[in-house]
Amino acid sequence: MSNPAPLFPVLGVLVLALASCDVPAARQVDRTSSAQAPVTRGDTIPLPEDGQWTVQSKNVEGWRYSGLTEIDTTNVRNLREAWTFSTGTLRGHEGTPLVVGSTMYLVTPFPNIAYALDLAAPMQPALKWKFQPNPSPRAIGKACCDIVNRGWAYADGKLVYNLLDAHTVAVDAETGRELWRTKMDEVENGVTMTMPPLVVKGKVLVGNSGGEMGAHGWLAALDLNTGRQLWRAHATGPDSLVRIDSTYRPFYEWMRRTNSGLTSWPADEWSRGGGASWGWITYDAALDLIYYGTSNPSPWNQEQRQGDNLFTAAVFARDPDTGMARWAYQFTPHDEWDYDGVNENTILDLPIDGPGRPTRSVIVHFNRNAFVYVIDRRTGQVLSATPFQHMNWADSINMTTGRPHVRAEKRTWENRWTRDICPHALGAKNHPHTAWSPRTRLMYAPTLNLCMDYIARPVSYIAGTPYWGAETKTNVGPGGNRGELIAWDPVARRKVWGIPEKFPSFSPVLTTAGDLVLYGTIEGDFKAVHARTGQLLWTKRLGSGIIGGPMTYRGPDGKQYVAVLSGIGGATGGFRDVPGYPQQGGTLHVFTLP
Amino acid sequence: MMRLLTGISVATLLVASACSEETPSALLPANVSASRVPTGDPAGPRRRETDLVVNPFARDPMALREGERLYREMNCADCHRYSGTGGMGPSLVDGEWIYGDTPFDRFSSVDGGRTRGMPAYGHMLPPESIWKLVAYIDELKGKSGEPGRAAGEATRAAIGAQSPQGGRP
Amino acid sequence: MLGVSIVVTILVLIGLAWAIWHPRAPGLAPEADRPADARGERLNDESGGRGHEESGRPRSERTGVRVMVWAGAVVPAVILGVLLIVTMRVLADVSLPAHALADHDAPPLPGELTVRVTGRQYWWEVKYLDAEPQRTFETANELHIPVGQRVIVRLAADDVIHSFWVPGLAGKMDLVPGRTNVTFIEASRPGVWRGQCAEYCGMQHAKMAITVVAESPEQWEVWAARQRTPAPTPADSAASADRRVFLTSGCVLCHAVRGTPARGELGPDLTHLASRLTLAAGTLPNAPGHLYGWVANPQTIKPGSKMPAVPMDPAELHAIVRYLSTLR
Repeated sequence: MSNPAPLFPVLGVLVLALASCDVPAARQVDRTSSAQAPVTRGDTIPLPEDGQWTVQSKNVEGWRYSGLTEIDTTNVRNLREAWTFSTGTLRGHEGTPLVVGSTMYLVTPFPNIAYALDLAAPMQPALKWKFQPNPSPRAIGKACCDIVNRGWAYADGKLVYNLLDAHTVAVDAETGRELWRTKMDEVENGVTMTMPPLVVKGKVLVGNSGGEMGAHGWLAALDLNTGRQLWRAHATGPDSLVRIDSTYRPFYEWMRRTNSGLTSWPADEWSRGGGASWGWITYDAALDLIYYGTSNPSPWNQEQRQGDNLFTAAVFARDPDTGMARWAYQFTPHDEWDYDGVNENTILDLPIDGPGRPTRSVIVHFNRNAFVYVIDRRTGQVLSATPFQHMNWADSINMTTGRPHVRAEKRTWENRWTRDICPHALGAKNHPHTAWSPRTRLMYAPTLNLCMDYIARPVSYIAGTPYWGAETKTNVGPGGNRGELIAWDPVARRKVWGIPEKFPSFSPVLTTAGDLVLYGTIEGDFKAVHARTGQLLWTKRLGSGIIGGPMTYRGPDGKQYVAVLSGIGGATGGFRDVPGYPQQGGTLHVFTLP
Repeated sequence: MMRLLTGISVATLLVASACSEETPSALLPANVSASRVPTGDPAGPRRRETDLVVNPFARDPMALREGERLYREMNCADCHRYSGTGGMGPSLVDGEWIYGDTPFDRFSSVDGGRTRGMPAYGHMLPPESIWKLVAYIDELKGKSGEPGRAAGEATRAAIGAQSPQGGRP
Repeated sequence: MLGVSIVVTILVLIGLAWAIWHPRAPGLAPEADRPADARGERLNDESGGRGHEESGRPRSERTGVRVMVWAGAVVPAVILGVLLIVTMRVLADVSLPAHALADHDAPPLPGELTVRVTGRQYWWEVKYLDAEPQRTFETANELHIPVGQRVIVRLAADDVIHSFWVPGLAGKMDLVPGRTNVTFIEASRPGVWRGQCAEYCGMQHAKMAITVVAESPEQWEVWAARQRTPAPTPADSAASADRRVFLTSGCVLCHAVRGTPARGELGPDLTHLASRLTLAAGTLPNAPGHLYGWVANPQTIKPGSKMPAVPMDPAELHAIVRYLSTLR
């Protein structure tokens, strides 16, 4: 070129034009680092916030924490409804919507319809596809606690979830076409599936429900591409079924006996002993271990199953490739009160040993039995077990043996009432998922403040009918509030603040980098409170009760949205005579700032 | 070619229709006519035969105690709750009957099961036991204080008791 | 005890006879015949009615007291004291250990044999307890015990009051709903004893018998080990078909057969039915013909019992009885 100067303005215009391509047409968004506060695990490994929500609990460690900061404590009072979507079904909506890219995925309670919503048009999502799997209606009468679906998983372009009739299905996320469907168990025998799968290393991890039906509890891994089962680990029975070999290293001596999943039961009661895996699975990528819990033993009548009833009401750490157990710990040996062990095991690195000392790799678990456990996730040692709600069934957990000191007068018996046992069989915290904020270093837990009278009855095992054998009466705990949303410091082992609720707290919790805690109530109030103080900042009454998980995402337009499903059901039916209990519904609500 | 295809299609249809005409009775279970729901009848409302079936143990105190025992022991109470208000299974005391509201409909729910998860007890329990269960369920419904059908039945029974036919509505 | 009682009785009788007929001092009429003065006192009788010694001196008060104290109090006290100790020891011997009475729900200590008998209309549920859950087992209407060992029997009832009575081995002890009574039996020689419900419990109270079989400890161990095993797996496809008929029949609503999905809690455990001596709590001998009749229609044999006539056709009846006959 003889004279390049006339090119510069042209180049400059080109550069500017290219730069302006980044700016979305609708609105300029501040994309500075404050809007993408990094998520850190134990202040060591930063995880970038991408504005999506691709796992039911946001990350495989079970945090339910979003790094989005556009909505915060100063402006959440302006939150308003952006759009709603009817799921076309009633009954308990227990899952959390997923957002991958610009598509939102939902699954309804039975008949387990899956929807993919295109979020491109901000106020008017378009239905991309609808998938109707038509599961067998025979499963309806086999589900103990409503015909719910507790969550779905996205991996590698596939939406994977469980059908109530004990099948796992994978759907092409782009087209809504069924890719595979695997039968996992016999629904005629009372086995259903409601739990949210977790996909780890190309394996879909799923478990059954049926602790009230005499089911034989199990967790299985399916190949993500084909649906073929790779392994299945049971909760009870000989070591070969429980998948225990020489790599099994539980911390406590009483968990180490050979075939203890058989010898801790009379005769062959283990084969209908429950231990179903209907709750949450979390995963530690560094240790390559999955953590999940097992349900109550079957039947509820404890006189019919003498022994510790391993491995019910317990937590397992397993190798996801082989399913072999690395360690296990039983929260409630010989459970007599329906204290399932299926609640989530949140993966955290905490300064348990004090400031200035190295952090410990732990799981934090709010159990049904009203103790919050901090367990070393390498070894299974209980580092602390602290009551987080009113309870009287045990004095404490022995720190040497890990076993509870049960109060003899709170044991339950056949044809004899035991009065005023706390917590209630629903537990001091049920399956709705906690949230952890790395900013406040607090865990936010939906808790229940209920007690019960309990009488056990002789019960026959009739396949397909409940193997239950108990009658309970519900009483409210001290204070008169049936529930409480608490903020808990797992290192200091104390409650920092609590919000009493009229009904039991039965929705998962969301916490964000905007220092917000969002949760729903059975009456249908969707609330945002200050994460540090619990002060109520915003609330809106939705059409039906909220037992599904709130989530937040960044839409294609760059704005932050908050979404939650309303639709009462689940295990809350026992409260339908309490004034304020809502009608059934099934709606997705999405909120944003104006 | 077209004529050949047409001919084959017609022949197939004829054969198929002939086949379906030949074997209807073998495909139907015995005694299905009793529970067929009739269409309307210009000559006056018709009833199903089974609408008129009466529970031989209705309100019999011994049978009611036996029914209560069976309600517990056959695991009915765990699905429908001890009070009958429902849980896993629907409520038995709210007056809403999914499959029909006559005693025979309740009998056949227990006897044959239903497609939404109710198991069949018919080949395991003798019919007398099932009728006693139905009698107990009706007692639960009466005791529950739920308005609706129970109250309506009581009114009908009271009116019927005064009428010359004696109780048959 | 008996010997001591006989000796004491003889001594007392001798003493009594002497008191009645002993020779009196000459000239002294029996007290009742002596004249009394106007004030009711003896005349010139310094003995105060106690009589005189051979020397003529009146017997003193102290002598009388000495006789009363020794013959009346000390010697009997010593004899009774010895008997008391002997009685306490025997009582301890025939009583249950304190822990067996105190905690009705605790598993038995090692070396003890504890059985839980639950009375139901109209049969006996017999559960052998153990601290190890896998060593517990259940049977019905038949109680096997090792000779020479005390067997602690916990008695419970679910419906009405029954009473456990094995006349050859022990007395009656009631089974009361809502509480646990504890007794024990011990056989000193092998044999078969029949027991009976001894408290009217309903229509078939008369046909609620329990059989107690005492055998040598080694034989008992063999029997117990056999009872602990689950039902045998069917040997061939025909046996499998029989088992399938059983498992899909109404039997499994109430009965349990360990080793199969049948786990009814309402009727007797059938896992080793064919090993028992009787059917229906001693009503019928355990023989094929009786088993057919019982399964086909229990209400004709024991009307009012809780077992209904389960609907079945002849082929099903044959299959079920064939299967039950394999449960040795």
